[in-house]
Order: sequence, then structure tokens, then C-alpha cells
Amino acid sequence: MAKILGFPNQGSDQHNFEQLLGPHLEHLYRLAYRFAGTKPDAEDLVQDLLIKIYPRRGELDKVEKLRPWLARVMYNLFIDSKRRQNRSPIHLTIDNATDSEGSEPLDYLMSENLGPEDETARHIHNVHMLRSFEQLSHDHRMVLSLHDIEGYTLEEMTTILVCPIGTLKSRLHRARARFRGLLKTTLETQEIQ
Amino acid sequence: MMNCQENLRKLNDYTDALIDDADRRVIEAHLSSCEPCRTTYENEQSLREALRQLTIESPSSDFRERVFAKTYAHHARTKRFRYGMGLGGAIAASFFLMLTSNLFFKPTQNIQQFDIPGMTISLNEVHNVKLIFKSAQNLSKATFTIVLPPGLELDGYPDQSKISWEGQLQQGENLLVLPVIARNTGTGELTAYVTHNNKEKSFRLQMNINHHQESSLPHLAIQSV
Repeated sequence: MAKILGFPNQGSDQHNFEQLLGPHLEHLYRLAYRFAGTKPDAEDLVQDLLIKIYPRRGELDKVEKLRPWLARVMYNLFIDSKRRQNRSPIHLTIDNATDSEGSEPLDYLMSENLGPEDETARHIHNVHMLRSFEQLSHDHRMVLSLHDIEGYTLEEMTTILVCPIGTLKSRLHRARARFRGLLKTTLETQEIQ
Repeated sequence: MMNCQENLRKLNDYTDALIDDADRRVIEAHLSSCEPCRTTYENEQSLREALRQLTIESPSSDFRERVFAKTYAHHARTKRFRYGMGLGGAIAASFFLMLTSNLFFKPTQNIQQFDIPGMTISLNEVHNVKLIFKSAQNLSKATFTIVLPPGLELDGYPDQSKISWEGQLQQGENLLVLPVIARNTGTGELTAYVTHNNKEKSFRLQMNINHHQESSLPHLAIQSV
């Protein structure tokens, strides 16, 4: 009776796929959450990514830098889904960014040894941070998510966002200024209420 | 001596560690002596730190299992739909080519060529091509390479015209089953290479791909070196 020669079949295929993608799932979910803004949308986005790349699983171990590659594919999927939602190309928001003046709105977060009242204040502040972040334009959220939150280098981001490094640097600068401005406005509105 | 304007222009790059050592030293010297610039720098750092602390909702507890399971289920459904497009979907879409060879590695690197056996298959159905390698001895670390003609792919490896892996041949008959799917009509050669210790042997099979599902059973080809 002939011996069966091993061929990379479906079972081992799935195993290899999970071995390769498993370590990146948590990171991909976090990034998807930054892109999409909600848990269901983030889970759907990661799901779409896996469905998209599964047919190419035989090539994945040859990808030199898998994490930025996955981020790029997921970013493209996100853009596609936004386009479908809007039924037209994305309109980029023009930010009239101005740096905040006066007291630094991040002071709460950087305080150490907080008491219970300060902890509550910190929680409220975190809510404001999220609210301000969500108000950022799509482009600004992307660069802050990738660079300042998830730690991608500018070089990696040029691949993910298909954008020159100089543009990314100035976009990052504007995004931070805009975020600071939005946070200040949110906090001031809260104080008035 | 750096002035505040110059310093502020480079502060973002400094905070992001994007400057060289010389610039870094100049900025640090300026920051140690200029309080307004130091405050700006601390604010920049605070912003980055605060962004990193932005919380998100955790994914569902079964997220990992679910996301993989759904991926496999999605592709299984797609595959069933694709194969069901032709009449062949109702018929067990497998038949076999018995390509037998007495695998005996002579001390030559030349690829052996023979009259090419052929088989006819239909579009969008999985056909199992079976190759039997007869080896005179156990061979570890043999490399198998399958090269596919345009329009033909191995099940589970779309858009890949060449697939290689390492395996073992045991003394006697060794069966290799290749599930192939035709995506386009035409004629081409499927070639299987077996390499061991820098010696190579190839097996060629002519593939005729038709629209119709009347696939022909290939003749039994016996090849020996």
C-alpha cells in the first residue's frame, strides 16, 4: 500500500494561518477600534481583513513586515467601507487647527498619586479625550492612531497610508494641535454646563 | 546658540526621536535653559502619553475563535457556490491520474523528459490528481515543487502558480494527491519536481481544460529512469 505524502492541506493550512495571524489579532483589533470607533465595527473590520487575506495565506509568511502590511490592508478595507457608506468618495475635513492657549488641558492625565476625587476627574477627562478624538477628521485620527497610539514609524506609515513622509509629519503636527484644541473646547463646554 | 523659534520648529521631531545626535544635543541644551520651551516640550510629551492612554472597549471574549471560524466558514460557502456553478457540482468531482514512476536518483542533475501523459478536466471543479512516486530507498528532506499552467490552481492556493514544500519519501510507493481546480479553459503543463541532494526529477502532465464536464480519465503512465 502506498504511503501518503504530506501535502499542505486545509487542516494544517488553518493551523498555520492561526499561528501566523494569532499574535497580531489583539493589535489589529485595537487599530480597527481606532479607525472605526466602536467595538462591533472594529470586530467586523478585523473579520473582513481575515476573510480578505485567507485566500493568500500561502504567501503571508513571505511578507517581510507582516504587521504594517496587515495594517495597510485593513486601512484599505476601512476606506472602502467608508466609501460604500457614503456612496461617494470621502470628503476630507479641513481643520482650522489652532494651538490651544492658556492652561494645558492634559494636566489631569499627567498627575500622579491621585485621590478618589482626582480619579473621578481623570475618568471624566478620559471621556472628554475620547469625545475629542472622535471629532477629529478621518486623516487626523489615522495618523494619531498609527503613530502616537500604536507606535508605527513614519516610514511604516508611508507604506500604510501611501503618503510622503513630509506630508505625514505636517499632518501629525496639525492633528495634535487640532486634538488639543478640541479637548480644550470640550472641557470649557463642560465647565459652562 | 539656538533661539526659541528654531527650537520650536524642531521640537516635534525631537519628541518623536527623529533627529540626529548633534541636533538633539543642541535642543537639550536649549531646553535646559529656556522654561517656556521646556513647558511646550512637556506638553507635547503629555499629549502623546495621553493619547496612548486612550481606552477602548475590549473585544468579545470569543472574538479570536469566532473570527477564525467565520473566515473558514465564509470561504467554505464561497467554494461550494463556485463548484456548484457547473453540472459537475452534482457529481463527485474527483478522478484520478495514476502517474507512476520508479524514483531512482541517478547522479545527474539533468531533468528527465518523457512522452507527456495528459488529462482533460472541466472548469471550476476540484479534481484530485494522484501521483505515485516509487522510491528505491528512504529519502528524507526531499523537496516537492508543483508548477501549474495558467488557469489552473491548487485548491486552497489561489493565484499561486508554484508551490514548494519539504517532505520525506519512503522506500516503495508514495502517494501524493493534488486537488486542482481549473479557472480558465486551455491547455498547459502541470509539472511536479522532486529534488534531493541537488538532484532533480520532473514529472509532466498535459492538462486540457474544457467548459464541459465530460472529463476524460487519463491513461496510466509508467515512467522509469
